[in-house]
Amino acid sequence: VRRLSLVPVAALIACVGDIRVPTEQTNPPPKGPSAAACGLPSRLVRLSTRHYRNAVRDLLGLADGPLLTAGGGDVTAFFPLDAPSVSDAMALEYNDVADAMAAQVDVATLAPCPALRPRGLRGCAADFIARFVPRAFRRPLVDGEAAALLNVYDAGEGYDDGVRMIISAVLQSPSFVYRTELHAQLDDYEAATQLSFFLLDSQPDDELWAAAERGELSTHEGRRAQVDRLMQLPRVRDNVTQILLRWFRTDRVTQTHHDDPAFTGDLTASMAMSTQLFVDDVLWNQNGSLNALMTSRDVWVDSNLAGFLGVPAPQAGGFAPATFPADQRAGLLTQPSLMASLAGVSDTSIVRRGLFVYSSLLCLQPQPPPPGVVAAAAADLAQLTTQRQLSDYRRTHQPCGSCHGSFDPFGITLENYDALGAYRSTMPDGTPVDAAWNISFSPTLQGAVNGGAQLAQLLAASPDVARCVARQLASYQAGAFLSPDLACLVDAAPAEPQPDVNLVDLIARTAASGAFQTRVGAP
Amino acid sequence: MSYAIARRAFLRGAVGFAALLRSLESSAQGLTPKRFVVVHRPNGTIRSNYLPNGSGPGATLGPILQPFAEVMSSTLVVDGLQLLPGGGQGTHEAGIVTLYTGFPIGPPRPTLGPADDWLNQAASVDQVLAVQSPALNVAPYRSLQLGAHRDQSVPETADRVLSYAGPNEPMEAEISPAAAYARIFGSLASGTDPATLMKARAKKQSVLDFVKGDLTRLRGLVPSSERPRLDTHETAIRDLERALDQRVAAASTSCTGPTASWLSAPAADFNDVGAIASQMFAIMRAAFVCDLTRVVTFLWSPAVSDLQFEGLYPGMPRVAHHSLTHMDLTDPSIYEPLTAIDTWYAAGTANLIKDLEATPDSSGGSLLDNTIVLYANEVADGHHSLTNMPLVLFGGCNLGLRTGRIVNCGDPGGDVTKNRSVNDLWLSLASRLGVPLDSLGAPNQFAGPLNGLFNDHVLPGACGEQRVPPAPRRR
Repeated sequence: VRRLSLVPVAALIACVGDIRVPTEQTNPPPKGPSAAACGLPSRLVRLSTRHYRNAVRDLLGLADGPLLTAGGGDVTAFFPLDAPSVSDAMALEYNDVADAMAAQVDVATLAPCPALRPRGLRGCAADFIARFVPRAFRRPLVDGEAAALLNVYDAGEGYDDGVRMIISAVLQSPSFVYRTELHAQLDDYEAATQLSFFLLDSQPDDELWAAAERGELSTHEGRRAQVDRLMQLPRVRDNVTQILLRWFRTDRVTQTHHDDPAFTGDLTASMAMSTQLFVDDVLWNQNGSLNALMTSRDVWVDSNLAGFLGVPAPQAGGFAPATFPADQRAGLLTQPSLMASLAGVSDTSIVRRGLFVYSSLLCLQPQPPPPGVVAAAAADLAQLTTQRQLSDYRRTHQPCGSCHGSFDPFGITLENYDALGAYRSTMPDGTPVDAAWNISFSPTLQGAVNGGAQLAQLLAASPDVARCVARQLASYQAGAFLSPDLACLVDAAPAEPQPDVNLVDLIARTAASGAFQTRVGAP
Repeated sequence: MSYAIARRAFLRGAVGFAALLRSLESSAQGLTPKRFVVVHRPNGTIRSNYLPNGSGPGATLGPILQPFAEVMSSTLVVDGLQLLPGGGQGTHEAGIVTLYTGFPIGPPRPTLGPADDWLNQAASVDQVLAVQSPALNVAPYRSLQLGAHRDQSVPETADRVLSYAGPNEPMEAEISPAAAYARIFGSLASGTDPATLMKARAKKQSVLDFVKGDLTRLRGLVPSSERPRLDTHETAIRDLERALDQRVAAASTSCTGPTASWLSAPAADFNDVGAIASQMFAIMRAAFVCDLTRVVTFLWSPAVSDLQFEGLYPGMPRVAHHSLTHMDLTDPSIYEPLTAIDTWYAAGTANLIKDLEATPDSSGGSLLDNTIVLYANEVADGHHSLTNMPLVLFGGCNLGLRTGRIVNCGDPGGDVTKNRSVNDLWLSLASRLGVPLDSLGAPNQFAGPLNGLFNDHVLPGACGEQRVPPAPRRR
């Protein structure tokens, strides 16, 4: 009885306000005289699975880097949720991986030692250390470091073996495994590293490194010049596209199952590629407009997807954009890949679609159902068949309604896409689709809509979504979801983002932002 | 020369392994090894088909546990225990975190994902045992985390982690048999002469000396809030040094890993999951034979897994596991496929138990005699009930586990909310495995060890060759 009485209270708390970030868990800035300062804490950032893989690849000039598994990282995750500390299994894995990578390198290329060697083989090893290790450690060598690495070399059996031992030592050293962001004002090397892991998804490239050595990254102009250069690189553009795709988890469609035999592996692969091409096109051919991302009528189709959507296949083969009527497709939210992955096995899912809008586009964290609720409602729910009937029950029965009432409506307006992502105007039983709802989410997100395309228009015009976009990008740069007390990092991106925000410009501003250059609680 | 003796002979000649030698000698001199294994399968069971038929000596296992009938004499079904995750939460995520740590859930992980990805507040019990038990913390690898499936549709970390090194320190399962094999047996080279091994070990140490120096330097630069992480890292490197020492020791014996065409791709369907699990079990068994580890947690598939099954019985349609558990569990078209799925997991797990039972241990008896296996689930059923958790123990004869029985720890009056806590089972197990614990979890989460699970004394020779299976009976 006591537990039950708590349920409505918990549910009410659950669905108002912002993401609750437990302050104990996020290394908050220390309280005290400097507590008023808002900024990321002075910290170590362990390279995520993806960053470690890319950094090793670029450092050693390999086609691909190693994939760590012991730390639990996920290369497709938006935030790296890798284990924060290095466990014994991870230390062992670093050791094994470092040896394996060192064994792979071509020593003659990476650490050439010409026949005429004035200081002998050991001199070549010293040259290699001076050249290679600062780039690996993303800072100049400190006193004694070169000598310590020469000791490692000396333990080897011959030049090649010694060089490989240096490489193995470097790839498992804390100076490589952790990025440092320690100074109250990031130094040039820390600034270069932060910029580089955001935009290049890896170690600083030669030009960024040179700019750090010249001391150019301590000014906003210097950082912005590097950002503008980087944003022209195909590699950076690909990475920025991938950042958005990871945010929206568009890859999920390839792991989605539907009972319908039409939903083949080929089709899901086409859907995933279609959304990638769409985001790429919006970012780099349509000036990165958030409005275009949210409302474009284009869907990129190949022969698979054209057949599925009932439009002509591109004559030249491959993918080409097909423009749909305004009531059928509007931007990212109505992409077939998203609609198909945000669905059940045999039906659509009002909950999953509603939650996508709620969390991915509005930056709100849903709370799980209170205990016992699922079991208590099971008998009632078993009598209901359609998604709409189920949603009607959830929204009108407490405690379910206190949460589902806020996000189910988004899913209801997306009911004009079937479980596989095709547009529909009638339900399987022949009745017309009812996707109309008077959205009343917030003072700046409300209005009557009919269908997913109109919902997308409403979202595109809402500053709620624009703020979430800015916050997500700032969070990505920070490497973790920003708690409300770190709002300064979002607000510091110059000018409040407007609904027609330019995503490319917002990313560039976030990357160069001065607010990300300071650290609180530096020793 | 037996494996154990060969290893001792080598160790006597080796320099610098005094501590290792001591531990191995003590085990060779009659102290049998102890081991602990967790096997987890997801999404609850169908209680009516899980419960045994009848009671007393004539009781037989229900359909879901039927695969364990062959090893009934090594099986102990523990019914009537409940989970108390606190926080008013009764979900898969809350269940799995509390099941393995014994503590109430913490706050949700700070992500944009669902707010039910609870952080753990304490190390998992397997890790408490792996670190603190003098009987367990003696092998090169303190513990192994293995698994067969990582469902991409389940975003919560909590759902796929069984072991935690500490608060918010998840230890994820390796799901690639190829990677697991390489990690555990990778550098074991049978027949290499000790001098070569020692030389390789010394080279490795020069690398690690640099790594440790770098760690010390960095430790002097970071704010105090970051020092605990680096302390953990430093401990991990010391563990690595120990593991390398023992790898060298083990490599000098004839003890090498099994050979197989190791799978590495993620599972595409349930048949793949079964194939990966079989390989992981083979690796686990071999690691025990070589005494490379004494603690293993194994994840069949994460909590909330929507792994799809079909054709487990004639006419069984294709179903997604977790989705199906949220349907009407009294409808035959729902509970029959769910029964078949839980039976499938039991059959796969029974293969591991049979394998451990059939494999002799170096100190006599079978691997299973010296190993306690806990087969568990994060919820009791698909509607997130936590009151009658479906838990089974196997093996442990040399540790005094009284198997061949079904015990009911439920409230005698039938009030399931008064059932004993799973933590009381943990207290019983921990004590037998070398870590006497007075408490586990919040004050309302434990009462004390369960009585009657273990014999007070283990008679020499009681396990192994001529063990008479006790008749199944209810307490």
